[in-house]
Amino acid sequence: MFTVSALYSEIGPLIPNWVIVCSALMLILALVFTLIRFYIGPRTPDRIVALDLVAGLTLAALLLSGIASGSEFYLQSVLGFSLVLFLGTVAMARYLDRSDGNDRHE
Amino acid sequence: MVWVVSAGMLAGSFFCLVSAFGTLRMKDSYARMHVATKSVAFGGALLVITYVLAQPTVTNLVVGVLVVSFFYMTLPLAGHFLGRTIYRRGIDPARPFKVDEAKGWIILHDPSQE
Repeated sequence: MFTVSALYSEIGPLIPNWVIVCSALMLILALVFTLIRFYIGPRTPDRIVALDLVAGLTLAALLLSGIASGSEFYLQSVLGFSLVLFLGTVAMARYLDRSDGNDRHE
Repeated sequence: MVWVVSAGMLAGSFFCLVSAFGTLRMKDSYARMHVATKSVAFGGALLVITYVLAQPTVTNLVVGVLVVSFFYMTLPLAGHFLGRTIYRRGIDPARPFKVDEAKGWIILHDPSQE
């Protein structure tokens, strides 16, 4: 089952079209929900949570396009991008933790 | 095998959708933080497992194990940081805490002290 060769996928072209379309539509709907929360989030931490979720949904979309296209390089880019996601979220949370971050004008 | 991969794609996208819907609908910042970090980690891990099943190479297996472990190490940790920040900003939950074990340990943010 496990082969060493790259750039080869038996399953990618066999996936039905409606599966790919339904998964992509679910991810688009999820992005719309998250951006609505980013817009109406009453405080700054809510917006940071929404941004974190946007990054996670981007990873999910990358994985989905990788499965659908049959290339293996999407998974390695997901590996790098997940580290950037974590560092970005922690940096924003720590910044908000330490600064006076005056968001009381809302 | 094609149907296993299809079910994995649909289930992973569905858990990402559940996470976003909970982020939109939950009442307070703590619940939003929880639902935005845990559920999307599960959906992403499901998609990575589907990826490895769809293209079973050795490279994908190694990188997939790394990605799943990174997801389950980093996303709940980021959620922990966000929850600590929310608590420190003094944002109240929708219903008051019955037990507040962080009281006195996490000092509330006071801009006049800086």
